[in-house]
Order: sequence, then C-alpha cells, then structure tokens
Amino acid sequence: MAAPEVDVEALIEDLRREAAEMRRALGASVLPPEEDRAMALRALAREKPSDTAPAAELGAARLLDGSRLATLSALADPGDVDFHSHRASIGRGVVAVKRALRRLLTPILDRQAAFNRAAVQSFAALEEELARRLDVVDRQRGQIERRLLVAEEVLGRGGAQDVPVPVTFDYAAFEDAFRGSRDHVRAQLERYVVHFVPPPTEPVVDLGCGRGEFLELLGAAGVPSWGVEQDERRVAEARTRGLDVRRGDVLTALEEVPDGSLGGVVSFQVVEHLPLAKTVRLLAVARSKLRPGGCLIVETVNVQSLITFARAWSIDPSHRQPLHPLTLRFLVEQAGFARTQLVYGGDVEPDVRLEPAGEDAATQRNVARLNALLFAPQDYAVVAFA
Amino acid sequence: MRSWLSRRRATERRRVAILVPSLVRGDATGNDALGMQRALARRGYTVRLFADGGDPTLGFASAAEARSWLQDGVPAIFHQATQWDNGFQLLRRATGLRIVRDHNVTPASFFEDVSADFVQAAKVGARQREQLARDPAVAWIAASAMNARELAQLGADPARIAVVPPFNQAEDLARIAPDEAALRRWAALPADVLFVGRLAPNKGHRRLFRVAATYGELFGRRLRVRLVGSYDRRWSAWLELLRRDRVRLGLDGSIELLGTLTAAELHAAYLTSRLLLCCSEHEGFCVPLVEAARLGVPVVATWQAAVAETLGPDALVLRDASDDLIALAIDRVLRDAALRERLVAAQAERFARLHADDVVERSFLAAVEPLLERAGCA
Repeated sequence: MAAPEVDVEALIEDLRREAAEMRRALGASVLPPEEDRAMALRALAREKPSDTAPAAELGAARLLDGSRLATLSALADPGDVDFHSHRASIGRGVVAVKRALRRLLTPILDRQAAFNRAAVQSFAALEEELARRLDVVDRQRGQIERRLLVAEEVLGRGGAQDVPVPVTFDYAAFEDAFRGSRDHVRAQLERYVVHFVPPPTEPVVDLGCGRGEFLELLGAAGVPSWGVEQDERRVAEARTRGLDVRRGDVLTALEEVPDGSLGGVVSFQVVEHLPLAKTVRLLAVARSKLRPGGCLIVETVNVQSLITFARAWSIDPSHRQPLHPLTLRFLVEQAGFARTQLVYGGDVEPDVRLEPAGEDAATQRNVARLNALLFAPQDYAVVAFA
Repeated sequence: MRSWLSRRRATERRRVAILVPSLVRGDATGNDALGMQRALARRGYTVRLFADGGDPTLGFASAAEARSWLQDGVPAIFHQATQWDNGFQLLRRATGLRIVRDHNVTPASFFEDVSADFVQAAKVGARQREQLARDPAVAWIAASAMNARELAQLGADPARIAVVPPFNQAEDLARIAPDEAALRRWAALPADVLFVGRLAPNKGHRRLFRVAATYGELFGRRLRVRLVGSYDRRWSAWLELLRRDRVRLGLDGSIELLGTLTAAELHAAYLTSRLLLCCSEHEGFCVPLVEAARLGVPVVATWQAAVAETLGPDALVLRDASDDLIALAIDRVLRDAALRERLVAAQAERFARLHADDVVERSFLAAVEPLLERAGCA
C-alpha cells in the first residue's frame, strides 16, 4: 500500500513564511549569541577543565575507543612483520633467511600472538564492564542526592540533626492556632495578586498552599491555579472549597510538571522550613518549569526584624533555615531568574513600637533607628521573572 | 576419498573474511558486519569475522589471525570507518579479492581544539581511505550515494562502487521487548525530542541546544529533550562546551542525557519520544533515522547530504534552516497529528522498500556475489 503523500516542499515553504512572521512579531531573539566554537574551546583549554567532571555529569563512560584498541592490537602479533634488507648484493639471501627463521619460529610466535590477543580482548571486556558500571554509578548518584534531600528534610523537621527519630506533631492544628484566620492570611497575600494580572494562560502553582487562601484570591482574579500541600487535612479542607490541591512534597510535585508549562510559581512561608539544599533545588526546578516571563514569588520570615525572632520565628519549632533577604535574592538570581525585587510586608502593630520620650532631636533619631531595627516588617518576598 | 577432498576444496573456495576494527552489537559498523556475515552464511559461504576488539561473545577472531586467510587468497570485506592501521596493513597484503565497505570517515576538522588524538586518527583514516580509493583492484560498497561520490572524487572507479545501505538493528529493536523500568520512567514524561548519536563534535548537539532554546522563546514552552549516545572522556573539552551551552541557554532542566543504552532501553526511548531531531553535520548514512522510521517516530532533520538521502524526498529535511524554522517544524509535528501520521507512514514505506533486513540483504548479495563469483569463490 502506498504511503499517503506528504507535500514536503509546500509544507517547508509554509513553515518558512510562518517562522518569518513569528520572528517579526516577537522581535529579535534575546538568546545569548552563540560562542564561537574555536574560541570557546581554546578558552576552555586555558581554564584546564577537569577531565572527569563534565563526563560524569553527562552520564555514560567510555575510556578507550576502537582506534586505541586497534593500536594495541596492531602490536599484538609479533610475527606480523615485513621482511626486507638494505644490502643490495646479499639482500635477497638475507630476506630468504629471515623468512625461513620466521617459519621456524611460527609456533612460538603464534602462541605469543594468541596470548597478546587474549590480553587485548580482556582489556576491551574490562573497558566495557567499567563503562557499564560507571554508567550505573552516575545514575545512582542522582537518586542518592534526591534521597539525601528527603532524609535531611525528615531529620530537620524533628529539630536537631542528631536526633535519629523525627519528632512530629499536628502541624495543621498548630497553624490554626498561630498562623491567623483565613481572612487575615488572605489580606496578607492580596498584595501579590497584582503580579498575575492580566492572568497568564498557564496555571500558577502555590507550593505549600496550606488552606488555599492564595488559590482563592487567584480564582477570584480569573487566574488558573492549583496547589501542593503535604498535610492531608489541609488538602481535604481546601478541596471541600472546590480548590485544586494535590497532596505531596513540593519539590517532587514541581519536578513532575512539564518544563515551561507554568505561568507562575508561588510559595508563602515555606522555604524557612526546608533545608537550604532543597530550597536551591526548588528554585532551579521552578525556573525550568516556568514559561519565559513567568513570575516567581517566594515569601518568608524577615530575619532583619528582631522582634520576629521573639515572635513568629521562635513560635514555630519547625522553622529551620533563616534566609536573609539578600541571600534569598541571590539564590533566586543564581537559579536564572531576572528582574528580581524585594517586597516587604506584615508591618508590626504601631502600639508595640517605641515612643520617643521628649522633644530632643537626638533621642527621636535614636528611637527611630531602634524602631527600624526592632520592628522592621515581619515578612518579605522575592519577586522575580523567568 | 575424492568426494571428501572435493567437498573440502569447495568449502575452502567459499570462504570470506570480514574485517572490522571493533565488533560490538548496537554499533553501526558492528551491526553491518554481523548482517553481512548472516547474509553470506545463508548463501553457503564460510564467513569469519576478524576484529581487534569488541564483544567477545560475538565469536570473532583477532585481526592478526586473518593473515593466513588473506594470504591464502580468501576474499576480504574490510570495514573502513576510522584509522585502523592493523586492518589496513592486512588488507594491503591480501592476495585475493578486496572489497571495502565505506562508512565514511569523520573529517578531522570536527576534532580541532577538542582532541589532538582524534584529529590525528581522522587524518590517518582519511589518508587510508584515499589510498584504497586509488587502488584499482579494490571494489567498494558505499553506505550512501554521498559516500560513493566522495570515493569517485578520491580516484575510485565508479564502475567498481556499489551503493548498499548498511545492515541495521531497527527490526531487531522492534522485536525486542522494551525495557520495562525505562518505559515506566520515561513514559511518565515523554520526550518531545529525541536524538540518538554519540556526543561527538560532528553530531550537531550545539545546534540542537539552540533550537531547543529558540523553541522556548517562540512558544513559551520548554522542549523536553532526551539524548542517547556514548562519549569519550578524551573529548572533555567538547563535553564542557556542551555543558556551558546548556547553562547559557537556560536549558538546565530540560535536556536529559541518557548515555549508552541497551537495545531494550533504546526501544523504550524511541517509544517514549514524540519526534527524532537530527541536526548532525556529518554522516555517512545515519542509522538512527531508519530506526526511528521502523519504530514509528517522525523525524525532523537539517539538510546534510547523506541524511537527506537516507530519509528520502518525503521527509521533513530542512535545507538552509534557521533555528526559528527548525523550532517551528518541531512545533508543527508535535501539534499536527495528521502530519505526524503522514510522515510516519512515508518513513515506514521507505524503510520497508529500502532498509528492511531482507531488502538490504538482497542488495548486498547482488553487489557482492558477482564479485565473489568472478574471484572464483562461488
């Protein structure tokens, strides 16, 4: 049966036209220019890159190739020689004697050749076996790194690193008691909705969405969204309100999303609970999952506010990783995000702040400084774009 | 007694030696040599494979052992793919019919600034190919018409060059059950784009990376790319350059390097990929294209002589292609199910017509048997 026809020429012409139109509409490419091959390779040679690092990263291993084995094998047969003589007069005789000797020595040389051949084949087999095992090691390394992250998190949730058994408690009940009402949380998060107006086509994911307050705000703004939450009770609670909340680990859930498929990634009051390595990984994965221009918001406790340590930070025993705003911004930029900004929120109640005593200008300045140090906003967020 | 002697003489007359630098199943040259052995054995020839290394379970003898056969006038089929001093010397001293299977030699320029060893090996390989091309006694079996043209330019007599595609493992792959663990792992997130080929400087990985980044720019979505293929640690500079490209282009999370796979894993990789993209800059034939054809994976490729020839006129081979055009072609194939179906059908039809085992076997025997007969080996 003949295959259905494909008018390839017409199709390619059509694609050329469409490509030109798209490029005109989008403007010039913003991709970094291609590095000149020769110049880049010479620069790398000057940097003397490690011989194994890129190789290990790239997965498989092959130490020798056919050409090197060929060279070894070419030497394997000691009898494989040309006979000649440079003596013009007796040359023929010399060559004949050499040939005769070669014939006499043939049994010995053949045994030597067989031994050499076996040795070369053993090298080849060893090389294959080594390559195979290195391959396995490379793959397992990735799995072990993932497991370490999970293990660190389990241990970390319990508090001290040297306690082998994780300590658990009803975190949902704890949050109900101390995080504040849903209305209060919604009011705190409302300021972030503006980053998703107009709504992206792709969904926004709320990592560690808790009771789903931000998902509700996004829904009201017409932004497609879903959330990830580890606590079963929280998931059930959010679902009863019609929210799309999936149960699981935030990093695992994010890794399973196709690359470039998200319009936004947000995470409120989560990273202070994670080991640093996991936060770094989470940011890198978020970068790859966001479409170009997609927005990232990561909110955490503002460690620049000293009262925060006395209140929000200390009250929650599962806090483990304070992150200075400049540190978090640096990590976000390292993950490849652009246009980063710091947004502060959660002002301390005015009646807690120090009041200046008297009219003395110096006292007033000092009180203002102390207020700034003690009662800076309790939260901050890094807002950035892919 | 006389009948035993005549039978023995007949057997000795019908011997053929196949010389290959390294014999490994799954490798293009290795598969081709094994296919030739099968085809000739079916026709009653006594065929022996000689190699300098490879998988010992494939039952080859060392190349050095070929000497006595070749000095006895046994016809030799020599696989030319790279520098192979030992095999080259043996062939030059052979007294019988000499047939060279040309897989082409990757030009040395690709290895400049990457590996001095490989530059040297490529230069010597090219010189050996050239010397053989100038030898009027050598008959050629080229893997593609592009190879045949090159050989004629090097001095080979066009009348002594036959074009026969290489024996390939595509049908074996289709028969082998895909690796279950790999299938489960990759089917969860199928690859948008697959490429199969060693991570060598001629295989176009840098172009492929740029196309993937361009796709993200044009369509706001990242391509999930899987790369299958071995690499050599002596190319660490090249691997480092690829790693840098990947980071610079923001492709960190979207390119997965799978390394060398077993046949069952490779089958799984094809089954869990939506498209094969080939941006290779130099190929003598490019076997993965026919594997994709047999396994129903549509192909998008940039124009390169042997690639266009292997894929044929009904395939999506883009000449003078910009990164934008390739990205757009990928998008069209991914989105347009009818187009995908037509491409896959056209590829399957071409495979059945030109690259299936029985077809390759017929064209190989049609090229080789007359030569063997003339050499008194029938």
